[in-house]
Amino acid sequence: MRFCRCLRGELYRVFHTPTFLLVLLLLSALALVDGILAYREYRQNLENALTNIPMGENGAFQELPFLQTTTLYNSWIGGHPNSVAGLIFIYACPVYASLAYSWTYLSEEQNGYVRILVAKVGKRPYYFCKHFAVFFAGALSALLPMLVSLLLVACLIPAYRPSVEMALYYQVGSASLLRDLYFSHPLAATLCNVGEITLFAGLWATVPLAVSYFVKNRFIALFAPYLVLLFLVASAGRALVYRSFLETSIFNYLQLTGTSLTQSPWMLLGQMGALLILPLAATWGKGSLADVL
Amino acid sequence: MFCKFFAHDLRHGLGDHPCRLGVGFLLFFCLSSYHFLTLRIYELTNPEFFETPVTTGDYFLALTGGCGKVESVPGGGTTFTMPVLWITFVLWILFASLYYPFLDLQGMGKQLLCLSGTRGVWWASKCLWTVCNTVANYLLAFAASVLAGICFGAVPSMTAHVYLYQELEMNAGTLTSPSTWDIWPLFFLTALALVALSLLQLALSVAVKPLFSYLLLTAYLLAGTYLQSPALLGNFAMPARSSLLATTGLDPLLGGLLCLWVIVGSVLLGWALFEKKDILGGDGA
Repeated sequence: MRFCRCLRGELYRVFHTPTFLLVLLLLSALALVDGILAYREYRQNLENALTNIPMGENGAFQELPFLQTTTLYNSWIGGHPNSVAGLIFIYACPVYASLAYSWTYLSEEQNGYVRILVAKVGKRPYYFCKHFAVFFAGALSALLPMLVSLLLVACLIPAYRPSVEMALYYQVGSASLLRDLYFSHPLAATLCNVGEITLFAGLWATVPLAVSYFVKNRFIALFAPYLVLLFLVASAGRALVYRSFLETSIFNYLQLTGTSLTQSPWMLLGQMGALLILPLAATWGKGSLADVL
Repeated sequence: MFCKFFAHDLRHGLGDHPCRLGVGFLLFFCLSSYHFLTLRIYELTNPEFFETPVTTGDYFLALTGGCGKVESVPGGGTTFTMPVLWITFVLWILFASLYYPFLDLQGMGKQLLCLSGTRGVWWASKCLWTVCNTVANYLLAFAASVLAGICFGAVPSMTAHVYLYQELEMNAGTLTSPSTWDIWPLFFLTALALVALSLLQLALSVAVKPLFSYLLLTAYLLAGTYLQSPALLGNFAMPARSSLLATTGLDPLLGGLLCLWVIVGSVLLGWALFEKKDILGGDGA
């Protein structure tokens, strides 16, 4: 009962925290810009087809018009190849997911709110509620802009089914995990991709929270894990070049169009599993310790 | 009074953080060392480039080079590969300059501001501290790459070999030299660009909070990795995008001028905003 009340309070605070709302606003603006640019590409493609490809008397194109090269499934922010907005959305994901709500634990610890809540609801319920709220905020900070992007692009660009003959235009790697699903059930592939990015953003948001149990500098707690992640991605990339063709960068798993290296579900599961277990273990440990200082 | 403010900032912003400097040095040393692994590949595939010994300039350029201009390929694709090494390097340098000014404002800096009765001196001191901190971290990166090179048998020299075009994802048809590049001008241009970005971050931190300024700079740098444009200053911190290395690159003189403009603009704009800022309310971060 106390856990539910505490969780309700934390979730209420998520939606009333200015940084969370500001992050949502910025990312929604980014999704909007990307959608408009994608629509421009679609219009250009359509105009090229109407201008250059002759039509028969029945209104059908006499040659293949290549209209499927621009479709809903490669125009939303997560699946848009050659898109700066999509690049920023994926690679800056750890930064904005952390900014959404992960800093609140340190703030509450500094102003004494943690002690009040811990006295009222207990240590473990408080820390688990905080962990869940941070996960929820991080996940929502990625999910809502992606939904905005999908809805906007769905209103503007037809959902042509991607054609295998035009695979070059979608740039979904031949070794990509979702490649087969992308051509057979593109909507399912897109929803899987949305789920993947949402889950990563939520899990990543708990990493700065776990770091803030040990480090009291807000900037280090929020951004140092991101720099460590970049270091690990760069290290694995350089150390394994020409020695292994297995994709190790989590960002290339999140981006459908990210890579031509072989993707392994175990690599993805391993990285997501580490992101789930390590912060949760830190939260469990923090909630179990009897220290009061 | 300014000298005392600056001495205080140097002592507490740099001198009191040997751990951060040490971590930065280790980070750059490790990242530079990976070039030794890729060298083994190039020695097999392009032995003609290794008639002269590998230099420390090669290691430094491998760390800070970034990636060449993104070009389209037939079929709608591009040659783009995210330069994660370069992004790590630049984001670390920006991170190192991010939080000290505002932590100081919440602590002793607020007292000093109130006692001195002037905001301009505090702001000028912080700008100069940011420049010194950025240059110190950049020199640390340089020292780390040189040391990594020397540890793996490189000759100390700021002449870099052209085989690096593969590592930097550059187009072989646009290289400005058949054998080596002198990268001294790029060493200074990269430093200037990093100083400009750090001061821009400082000015943005006054307008929006430091946390959001880092997010905005990250987005700005990521956009710069994909788009080659003088409006995106990150391009001038990326030697692979310079016209000294590639014919399709950006003019370094233009880059130097733009960076100077951004430095002056950031200092003045930040000062104007800081004069109006409420330093008593909130935690500032």
